[in-house]
Amino acid sequence: MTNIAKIKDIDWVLFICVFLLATVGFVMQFSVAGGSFTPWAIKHGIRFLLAILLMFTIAIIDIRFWYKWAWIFFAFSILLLIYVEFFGHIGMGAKRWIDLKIFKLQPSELVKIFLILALAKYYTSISQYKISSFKSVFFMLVVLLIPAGLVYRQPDLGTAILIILGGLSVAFLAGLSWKWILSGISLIALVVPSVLSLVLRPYQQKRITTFLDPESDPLGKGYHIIQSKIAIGSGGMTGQGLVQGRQTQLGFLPENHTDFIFTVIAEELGFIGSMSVLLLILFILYKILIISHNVYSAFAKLVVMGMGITFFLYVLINVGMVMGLFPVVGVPLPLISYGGTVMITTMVGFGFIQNMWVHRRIENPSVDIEYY
Amino acid sequence: MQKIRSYIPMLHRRSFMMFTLQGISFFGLGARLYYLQHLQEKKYKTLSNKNRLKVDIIPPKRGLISDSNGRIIADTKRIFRVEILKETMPKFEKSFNFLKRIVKISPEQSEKILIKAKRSRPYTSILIKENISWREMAKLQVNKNDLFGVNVNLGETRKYLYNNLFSHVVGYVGKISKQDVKDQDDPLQFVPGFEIGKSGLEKSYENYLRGSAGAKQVEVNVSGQIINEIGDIQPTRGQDLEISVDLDLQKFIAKKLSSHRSASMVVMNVQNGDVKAMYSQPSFDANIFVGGISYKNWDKIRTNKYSKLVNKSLAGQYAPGSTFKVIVALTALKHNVVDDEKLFCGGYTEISGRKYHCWKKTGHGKIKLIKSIRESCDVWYYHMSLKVGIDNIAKMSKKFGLGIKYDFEMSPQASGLIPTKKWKQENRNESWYKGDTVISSIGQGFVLTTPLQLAVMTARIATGKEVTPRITKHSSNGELIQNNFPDLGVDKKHLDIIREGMYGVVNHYRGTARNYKTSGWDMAGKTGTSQVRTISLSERESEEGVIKNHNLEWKYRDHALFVAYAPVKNPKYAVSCVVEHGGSGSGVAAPLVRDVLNKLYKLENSV
Repeated sequence: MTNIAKIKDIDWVLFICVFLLATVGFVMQFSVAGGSFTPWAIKHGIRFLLAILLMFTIAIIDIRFWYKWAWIFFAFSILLLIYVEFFGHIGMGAKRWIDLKIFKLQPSELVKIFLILALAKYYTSISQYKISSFKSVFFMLVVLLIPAGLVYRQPDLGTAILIILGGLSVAFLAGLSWKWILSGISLIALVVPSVLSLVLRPYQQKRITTFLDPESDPLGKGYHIIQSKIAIGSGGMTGQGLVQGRQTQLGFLPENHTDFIFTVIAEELGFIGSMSVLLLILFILYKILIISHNVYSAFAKLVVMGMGITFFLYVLINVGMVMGLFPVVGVPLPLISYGGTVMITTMVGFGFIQNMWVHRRIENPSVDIEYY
Repeated sequence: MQKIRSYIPMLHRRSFMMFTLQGISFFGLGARLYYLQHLQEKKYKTLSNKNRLKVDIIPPKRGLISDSNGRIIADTKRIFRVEILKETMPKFEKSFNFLKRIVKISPEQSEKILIKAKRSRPYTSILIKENISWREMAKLQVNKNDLFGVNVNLGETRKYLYNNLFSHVVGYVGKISKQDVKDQDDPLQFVPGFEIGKSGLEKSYENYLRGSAGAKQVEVNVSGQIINEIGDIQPTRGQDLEISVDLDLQKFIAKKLSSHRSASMVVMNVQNGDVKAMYSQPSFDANIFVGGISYKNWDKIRTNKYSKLVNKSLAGQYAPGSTFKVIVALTALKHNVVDDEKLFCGGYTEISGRKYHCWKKTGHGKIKLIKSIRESCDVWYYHMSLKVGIDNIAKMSKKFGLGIKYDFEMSPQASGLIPTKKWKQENRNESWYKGDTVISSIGQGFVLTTPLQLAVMTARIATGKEVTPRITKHSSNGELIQNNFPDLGVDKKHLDIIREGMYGVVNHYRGTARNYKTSGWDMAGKTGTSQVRTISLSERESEEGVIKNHNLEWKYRDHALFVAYAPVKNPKYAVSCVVEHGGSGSGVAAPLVRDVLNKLYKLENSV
C-alpha cells in the first residue's frame, strides 16, 4: 500500500471528531484571552496543525516497524525521564521538561504512549496461558513502576497515576485473570490509604485534604476547587456566552487556559455546551472501540484500546477534578487545554490508532516486513 | 503468535467492558454537570456575584450649621484619606514600609495600623491617614504603580469656622466608635473614619444633619480593581440646620466674658423662645475633636479647673440668690399675704431666736414690695416666705420654669433644684425647718437654678406666657417647634408690680443696678449675689466686717448673677448672666448684661 493510499484509508470520521475537539480548544483559548487570538489561540492552532502532520506520519509508518522497535522506544523514553531527573527544566516547581527550543518536551507523556506499545507487544508475544502467571504479572508491574516511580519523583503524581492506570488497563484487556484483578483491587483498597500518607509529599497531601473539604480553607488550598465549582454552577443551562464568563474573565478562576479549561466551557457555554463536548469525547471513545473490534491482530486491538484508555483517563481525571470529584492533580484536558506536550501526546496516540486502522489487515505484525 | 481461537472474543469482551466503564464514568460526569449547572445554578450564581460585585458606600455630605442670619458656623471640608486593602497588596509589609516613606505616619499610629491590619476582616479597607497634604497626594500619584492596594479617597470632614465660639452649643463630631455602632443599622457605620455628632446640636440633630448613604455597585476583578460600575444610588445630603444664635452677638459675649474665669450667658427672645446667644466661659476649640483628639489634648481639656467641656448655661447649677426674690414676691401676692405697711428692715430680723441678716448692714428702713425688689431687701422676703410657706414658693417656681427640664433639643440639661418639704424628707431624711424657708426665700440654701432657667423665668415674667426655649425652628425629626405659648395664668396686676420693681432695679435712683442704664432700649432686671460660703458670726461682728470678695480666694467668692429683659414696654429679649465667683451681681453681672443689650440694640437697629 502506498502512503497516499494509507492516508486515504484512515478513519476520517474519527479524524473529524478529533479536529472538532481541537477546534473547541481553539475557540476556548480565544475566549479565555478575552476575545483575542493571542497569546494562546494561534499557538494552539499551529500546534494542532503540526500535530496532525505528526499523526499522519505515525499512521503511515508500517505497523511492523512499531512492533519491532516497541521496547526500544520505551527504553528511550525511560532514558529521557532519567535525563530530566538531572537536567530538566524547573517549571511550576517540578522538573518535567526538556527544552527542545521549539517546545518543551515532557518525557513522562512519551512514556505513557510507549508503555502501551511495549505492553501490547509483551502480551501478544507470550502464550495466552502465561498472561496471568506470577512471573509475567511481576514483569508487568516492574515495567509499570519504573516509569511511574521516575515521574512521581519529579514530582508529578497525576501523570504517575495515569501511567499506572494505563498500564493496568492494557493488562486487563490482554486477559489478566479475575483472580489477580480482584485481589489487586482489594489490596489497593486496604493498603493505599496508609501508604499514601507516607508516600505523598506535603503539597500532595494538602491537595487531597482540600479535595475532601475545600471550604476548610477558602482563600488558600481550597480556592481552586471552590472557584471552579462556582464558575461551572453559574454557567447554568445555556452559559454566559463566549468571552462573557465572569469567573473566567475577571480572573477568579486560576489556570483557566490550562487545567481549568473545561470550567471555562461550562461557565461560558453552559450545560448544553459542556455536555456536547463530553458527548463528542464519548463518541470518539465509541469509534475507538469499533476500530479495536475491526483490526485483525491482538496487538493492534490492545494498542487501539490502550491509546483510547489513555485519552479517556485524561478526560475523566481532568473533568472530574474541575467539578470537585477528584483532587486537584495537574492533568490537562486533551486537545482543549493549552500546552504543547499534551497536544503532541494525544495526537501521537491518535496516530497509533489510525496506524492500527490503516494496517488492520496485517494479522501478525511480528513477522518482519521483508518476509511479508 | 500462537493464540487459540477464544483469545480474540475475550479481547472483544474485555474491550466492551472497558467501554462500558467509560460510558458509566461519562454518565457520572454528566450527572455531576447537571447537578452543578442546573440544580445548584442559583447557589453558584449568587456566589459568583458575591465574588465580583462589591458595594461601595458613598457617605453623604453632612448638613451645614448656620447662625440666625445664615452665616455658616460648621462647614464641611474636602480631604484626601489614604486607605489600604491588605489582600490586594502583593507584599503587605514591604508595601506598607514604602508607603510610610511617602505619607508621614507616627510610629504609634503605624503600630496601630499593623494591629488593625492583622485583626480586621479580610477585604475591608483600613484607614492609614486622613487629611493628607497636597505634597503627599502628589507623591502618591507619582508612585501609583508601586503602591498596589493603596487607595486615595476623597472624603469630607467637619470644619468649625469659629473655633471656640459655638463649641458648647453646636458641639462637635468625632469618628464613629464601637459604642456608637451598637445602636446603628446605617451602612455608614462601616465607612472607615465616618464622623458622627458626639456632643451639642451635632449629637442631638445627628439624624437631621447626617443624610443617608449612597451606594455604588461595582464589578471588581480578583485583585479588587474596579472593572465596571454597575449602578449607583446617590447619597442624600444631610439637611442644613439654622440656629437662632446670632454670630455677632455670640462673638460680643465671648469677648465680654473672656476676662472672667468661669461664666455663662443666655440671651433669649421672649416672644418665640429663640435663644439668641448662649455662651459658656471658658470654651474650647471644637476642631481638635474632629478626626480624633490626642490623649494629651483630651487630658488637658478634661481636667480643666473651670470645666471647659461643660455647657454651663444648661448644666451649671447655681444658687439664684436675689434673682429668686421675684418668685417669692409673686407667691406672696398670689396668696394675698403682703402686709408690708409696717414692715421695717433694721439690717436683720430674728426668727425662732436666730438672727437673719440683710445684705445691707444698716437696713432699708420702711420696706414695701416694689422697694424690696428694687433694693433687694432680704428681710422682706424672710418675712413673707414664712407666711406663704416653701411648698407654695416651689409651685410658683415651677410655673416660671425653675427646677424643671425643658423639651429642648440640647443636652445634657440640669434640672436645678427647687426644694419642698417632701423633697427634704425624702432626700435628706430631715424635716423642713423655718430657717430653710427663710434662706430659700433669698435664693440660697437648697435652691439651685441654671442660667437657662433664669432666662426662661425672666422671659415669663416679661410676657406672662409659658415661654420655652428653642435654638432651631425644627426639632430633630423635622417638626416645627411650637411657639404659640399659652398664658401662664398669673394675675397681670401681680406681674406688673414685679415688673415695676425690676424696672426700678435699673432705673430708680436707689436701684441695685442703677449705674448700668442701657442706651437703646430701657431694661428691667434683678441682681443676685449668691454666697458659696457660710459667713460666721465672728466674721460678721469683727471690726472689718464681712470680708470683701476681692480679698477672698477665687473659689470662696460670691457668684454674681443678673437677669434682665428689654425693652420694658413690649419686651423682646431676656438675658441671664452668671459669673462664677465673680463678686456681686450688681457690680459684675449687671454691666455685662447692659453691654450685651446695648450691642443687641445696635445690631437690630443698624440694618
